[in-house]
Amino acid sequence: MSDDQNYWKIIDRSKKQFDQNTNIDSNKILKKSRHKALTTNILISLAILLMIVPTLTLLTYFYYGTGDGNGRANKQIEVASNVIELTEPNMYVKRMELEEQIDFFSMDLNFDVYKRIGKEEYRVGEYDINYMLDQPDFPDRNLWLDRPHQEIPQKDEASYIIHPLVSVPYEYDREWDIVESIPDGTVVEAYLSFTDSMDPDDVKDINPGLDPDIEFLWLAVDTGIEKKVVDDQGLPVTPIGYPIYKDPPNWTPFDNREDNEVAFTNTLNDLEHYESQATKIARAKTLALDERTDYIQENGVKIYGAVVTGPAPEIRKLKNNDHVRSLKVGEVKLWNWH
Amino acid sequence: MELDDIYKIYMYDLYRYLFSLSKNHHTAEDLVQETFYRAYLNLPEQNITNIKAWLFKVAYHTFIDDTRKNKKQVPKEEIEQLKEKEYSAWTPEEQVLQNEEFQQLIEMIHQLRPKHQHAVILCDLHELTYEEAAQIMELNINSFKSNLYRGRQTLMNKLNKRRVQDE
Repeated sequence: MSDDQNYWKIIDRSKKQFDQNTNIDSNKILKKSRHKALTTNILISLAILLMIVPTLTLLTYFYYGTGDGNGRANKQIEVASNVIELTEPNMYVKRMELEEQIDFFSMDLNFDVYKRIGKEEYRVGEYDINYMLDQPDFPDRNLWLDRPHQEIPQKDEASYIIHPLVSVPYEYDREWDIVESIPDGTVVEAYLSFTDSMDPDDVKDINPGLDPDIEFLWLAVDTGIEKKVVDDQGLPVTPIGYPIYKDPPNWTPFDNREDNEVAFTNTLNDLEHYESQATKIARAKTLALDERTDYIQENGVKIYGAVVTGPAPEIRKLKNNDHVRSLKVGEVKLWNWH
Repeated sequence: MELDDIYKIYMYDLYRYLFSLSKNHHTAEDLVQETFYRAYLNLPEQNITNIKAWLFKVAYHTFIDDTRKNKKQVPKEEIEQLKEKEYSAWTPEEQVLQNEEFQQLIEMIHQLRPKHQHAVILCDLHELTYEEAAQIMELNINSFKSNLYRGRQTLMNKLNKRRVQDE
């Protein structure tokens, strides 16, 4: 027998012998392995599923916490609050009281809006704005006002503050009747339109020697678009302007640290970068910020109207003021002019 | 044919292969189980044409991983102790009955150089083709062949010597 044959013979024999003596339960082994594989798969899937929520949360917080200087969420809060100060006369948000709820890639903003009528501040409504990333839905507005503005401004209806070059509608005479009929013991919020545009510093002079005794709350700025009533696309525009706070809160850009007109120009320029968001939140369907900022850069800030507040008898006196062209009555509250 | 049935066909081969590598029944059994566990985990991702070669490859990797793990985790003395315990748990009769000849053969193969060992185990003991075996050992076919021939030659000499002694 050759070496070769012997070699194969030995291998063959020992293998057979080994296999005969090997006693393994193949079913059991397969079952165990399959079971273990199944468990592993389930655990891995479970781990992945469990990771989804934290990952999304983390990404969302990262998204809202970064970018745009102070974080995207803060920027959107700033935009919303600025838009309201600029486009809703005598209405403001207390930014410290604002609530935001951050969900997966979305944010829900909830805040109250306030008006000053007389010497006191009144809560006049609430806003609810849902954001998807940095894009807001139309806000859910809930205002409790006796004389609210139109929800959506129409072009054939006159604005509450009228540009000197636009004719005052006939029915505005009735507003003086309202002022005449209001009892003396009330305070009134009134929208004044001036006969001419004037510098912000001159606004106080229309009321020399503080007689009548009224306070300016908000100034409407001539941005060149008010005399046309509509923008390029024929959408009606609403007045834009800035508030004057006697005792300014620390979150507003109009905190008297610099001239309010400078703050106004800066805020408007900043809003231009977030025009789509700002337009959604504003009442008007267009803000035409491009046109407006250009006009202000060329012509400076000119005031053509204002929101004032004061006791009813003082407001009545404005009828004889040469600078006041027309008036529209806003909210009326019980006496608080202490 | 069901996948499990195919697995069952090769189970003895795999067991023998892992025993040849580890020289230990318990390890071999554990590793067979581990091999099939890996096979179940990975199968859906692969398009396997040659199940036997693939299973051997998986088994080999399982063995390598296991060796590494044990090297890291268990100090040598403990292994020795474990081995002693394992052996003592087997009665002498069992040891005799249990594949004396195969065990001797394996001992002899393990005296070869590692690469020669593996080549002989794959090709001669488990009938894999040169290509399959070369792939498992991650060698090109020529160097695999030279490993195999040298290993086989040495083994044959050893077997002859023993036969002469026995006679």
